[in-house]
Amino acid sequence: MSGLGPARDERAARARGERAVQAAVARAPRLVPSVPAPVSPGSYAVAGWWECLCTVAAWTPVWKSWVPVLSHVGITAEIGVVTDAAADGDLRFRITGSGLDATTNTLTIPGGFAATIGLDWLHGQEPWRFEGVTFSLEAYVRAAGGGFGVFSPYAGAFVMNDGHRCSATAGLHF
Amino acid sequence: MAGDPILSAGDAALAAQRAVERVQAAEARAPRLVQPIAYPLFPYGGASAPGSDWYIPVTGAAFGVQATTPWIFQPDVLAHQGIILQVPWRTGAGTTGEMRLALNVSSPNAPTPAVTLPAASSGTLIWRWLHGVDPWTESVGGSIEVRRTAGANNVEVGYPLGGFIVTGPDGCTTTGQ
Repeated sequence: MSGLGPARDERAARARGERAVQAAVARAPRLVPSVPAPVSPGSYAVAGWWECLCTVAAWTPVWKSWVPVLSHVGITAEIGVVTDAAADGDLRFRITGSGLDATTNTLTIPGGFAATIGLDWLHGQEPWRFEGVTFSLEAYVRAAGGGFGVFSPYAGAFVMNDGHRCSATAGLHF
Repeated sequence: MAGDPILSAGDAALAAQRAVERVQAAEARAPRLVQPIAYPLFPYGGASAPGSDWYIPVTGAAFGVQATTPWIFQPDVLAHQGIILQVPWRTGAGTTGEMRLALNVSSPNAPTPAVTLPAASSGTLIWRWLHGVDPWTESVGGSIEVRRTAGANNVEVGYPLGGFIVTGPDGCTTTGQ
């Protein structure tokens, strides 16, 4: 026996128990599982090592994917891009769905480029609000005097994540 | 009197247990937000390997064999009650076909009813299938099955947009359509 009333004992113990649970929840790491969205070719056929050779002087999907629900605040990918010296153009990433159409910044790819670009985008849309959302990496080829090649994203997917290290204004970057 | 009163070990354990139960009850009342999971698919059969646009031709007339199973998926554990697949397809001149989904589990699940693919056409067939398999059954694989029902040209099946997606039951039916 504690010497105090049983009801008061229980209230105090309950409060301590709740504080303990809340403290444990607060200490838990905020790990939001990432969700990959496997890609398929957009408007171009795939050549060699899953490379799409872009040719059109208009915004045209190169790689696209689809998710049943836009459940995260960020989207990431690593994408290999190669251009011949006489070829250049732009890339952007776009999400579309019913009542939704948003794009990243436009990244200009110079001629003679051969490197990986990054997609780390805070798209700014409320998670869980939009269903049936299409992801598209789009290319605009200004000078098609040679190859403008965009490889499949690493792991073959655009990845939805918690937005860590993502940018709202420079989502597509070198 | 400052500080907490002295409690017996039994009182504290009981109170902590009740606190946990309240947290669990709150979680149970939270909206059922089921996070879909996407898996890649793999080419399996058909008349040949995928072309440069990731379409696989099929010419076989019977379901259930490798030659009429262009794409397979191997999630192992389905985890959710529904399956979404958006399957691009196209047919040659004078050539019709049918498509269905199938799961292979230890107790084979019935495939979906077949959907007709008309001749000289193309489209994307969207499946939302309430598959009926216990979501935590292990060693589950599945397949997109396509057969040619008439004609001499190909029925071609593209890589499903977004991959093979398992999701909650909302919007899904036992026929997939």
